[in-house]
Amino acid sequence: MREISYSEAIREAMCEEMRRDASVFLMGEDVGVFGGVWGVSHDMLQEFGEERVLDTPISEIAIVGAGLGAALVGMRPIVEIMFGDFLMCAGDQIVNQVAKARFMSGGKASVPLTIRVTSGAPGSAAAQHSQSPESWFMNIPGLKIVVPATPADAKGLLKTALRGEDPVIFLEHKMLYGEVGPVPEDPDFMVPFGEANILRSGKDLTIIAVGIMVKKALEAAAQLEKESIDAEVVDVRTLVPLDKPTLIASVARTGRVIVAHEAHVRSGPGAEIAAMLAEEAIEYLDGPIVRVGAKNVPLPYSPVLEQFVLPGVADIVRAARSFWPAHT
Amino acid sequence: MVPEAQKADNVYTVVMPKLGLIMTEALLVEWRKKEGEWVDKGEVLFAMESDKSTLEIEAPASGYVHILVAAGEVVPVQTPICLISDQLQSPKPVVEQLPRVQEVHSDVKMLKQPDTISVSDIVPRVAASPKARTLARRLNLDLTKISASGPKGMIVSNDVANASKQKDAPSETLPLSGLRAVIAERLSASWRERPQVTLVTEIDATDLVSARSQIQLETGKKLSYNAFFMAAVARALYEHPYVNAHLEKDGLCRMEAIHIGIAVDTPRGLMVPVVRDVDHKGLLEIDDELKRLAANALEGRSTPDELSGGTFTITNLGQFGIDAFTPIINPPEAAILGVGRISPRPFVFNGQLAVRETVTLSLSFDHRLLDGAPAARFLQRVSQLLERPVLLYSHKFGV
Repeated sequence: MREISYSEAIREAMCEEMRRDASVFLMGEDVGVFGGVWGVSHDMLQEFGEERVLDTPISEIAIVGAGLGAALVGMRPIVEIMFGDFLMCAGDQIVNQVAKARFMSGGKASVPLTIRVTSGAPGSAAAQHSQSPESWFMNIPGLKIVVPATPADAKGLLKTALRGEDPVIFLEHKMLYGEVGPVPEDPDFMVPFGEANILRSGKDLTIIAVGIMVKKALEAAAQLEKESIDAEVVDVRTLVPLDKPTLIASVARTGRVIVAHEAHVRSGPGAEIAAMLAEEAIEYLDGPIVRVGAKNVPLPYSPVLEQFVLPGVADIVRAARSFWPAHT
Repeated sequence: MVPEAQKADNVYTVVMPKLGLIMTEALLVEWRKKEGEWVDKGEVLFAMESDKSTLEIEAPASGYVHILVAAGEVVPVQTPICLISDQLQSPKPVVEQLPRVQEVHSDVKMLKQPDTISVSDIVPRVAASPKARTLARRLNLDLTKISASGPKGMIVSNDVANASKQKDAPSETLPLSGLRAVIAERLSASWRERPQVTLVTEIDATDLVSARSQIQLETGKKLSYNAFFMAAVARALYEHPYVNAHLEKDGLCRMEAIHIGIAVDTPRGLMVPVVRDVDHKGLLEIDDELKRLAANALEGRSTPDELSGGTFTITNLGQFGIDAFTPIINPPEAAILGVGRISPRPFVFNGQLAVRETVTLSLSFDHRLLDGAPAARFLQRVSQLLERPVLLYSHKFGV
């Protein structure tokens, strides 16, 4: 299979869907002329024109609000929020309007809106441009939250979002844009929501990973293998809906679980996953549920401090070893 | 932290603290303050002992001590044990109206390590993963006896599995059945408490074998040899009553009745049904009784009466090809007769070597009750009776 980058995979999904369906369009800050601040939508203006690739004013509430309005009248907008950190500017639109339109309209209105958001720390982008905001919205019913970890999933999950009827927050980790991997060319290739992906089978330990931590979990698993710890790595792919059966089945096999995400530990996605496992899989647990995530401080600019605060491969390895105190 | 003692009219009620989830009562070991003595808040007021440890408890308030429960008593937790009052006179017994006092976890100190106590030392807690708990419950293993290898000293399922393997590894350990446990206990006691001596003699059983055949020809009944042994022993006991005795705590007890037990091998283990008043029974009657009791024992239908009250026991291993052995006394009896295999053997008969049916008798006796010579006389008499079995056919002794 040909290999393309995570960024190209997202662009390919958008282009394919825009060619296929005239109601799909893209708008956001600098997505047109500039090709996107991360370059994801390069040359899309040339192909689709100003009517379908729109540069917007610097106002997240306007961007999301316009997307909401368009979606309510039958369009399938993709809106791009340059930094996930800025989602709070569109907070009321997302939380009170986008998420609730179907419920408040008694099911008459749907909002097939895809909010593409960059997330995560790209390195010394400091506290306002580095956050992982997925769990901010996990508490809001009515939103789907998608966290692709590979180029193929980025394409397949985005196409599922664009063809669905629900509002989706689609979180693209900045440090994954350059990741290259095999991506199917089939224009109908889609990855369903709510299906976690077991990327590595193991019998001793389950590492449930979110977004960029999938890659780090696989690296950690390779290290742990040298220590005779056989780790299973599960990519959640979507946080809402969450694939409980796959996660529970994995934990039932291994008895031990680490949940890894780049978001802060406190009330991060891992809190929900850990609580779910404690409720529904407690009998299988052979030790504490361990969370690996960013320390509970704003992300620092200083590279040294940033590396200290962000979770890495070593943190996962250390957490895994903690299950076998005599082993280490 | 000071425990929240209940205060009413400047009277504090001190209760026996509950120091563990499963603690229900505790021994009040000692009062460190006398009745009416002043105690300062934080001073040691009393010492208590639970099943886990001995602890000193501090006074939750200052005042005069009015003791409600004397030292040395075991009382349920939360029982009011003393009042601390600002008055020297004992306050009215307000105990009943007072609500129960809070637990005083934080005010206990270990006698030996007064400075290093935490709640976890007091509240028994086994750290174990849910999976380990589930497994332990399924395998019926006690988590408190399993060593932990998991994070934070937690017992994990692997620890339980290992403990289970260790338990199973050397051999299958079966809990002692009621009967096995009784046998174990009785035989241990017998061996431990009794200086036992075994006398052995080989006797000529040719006439005994012949007598048995003659009775069969006459009556059509094939008597058990045990009936002959039992009849012989009964008669010998009648004539040597010192052997028909028990050693009780208060002394030697000569048994009037002659009740003889016979060891029977059953699927559940050794049982000893007892033929009563053997001295009043003829051979045929003894034989009937023996067969009935043995059948009951084999089928597990024995009544407790059938299995108790013996004054002497016979154990016969002849059917297994055993020639002689040293039986262990069945307490509290004074002696036991072991019977070996009846078999044709070379034997000096009438001054000549001949092939005769012989049997070896082994008499183990309690040397505290019997000297060697009287025991030997008893065995000699048993031997005579068996060598002259015609004597056994009548149950009127002394004929």
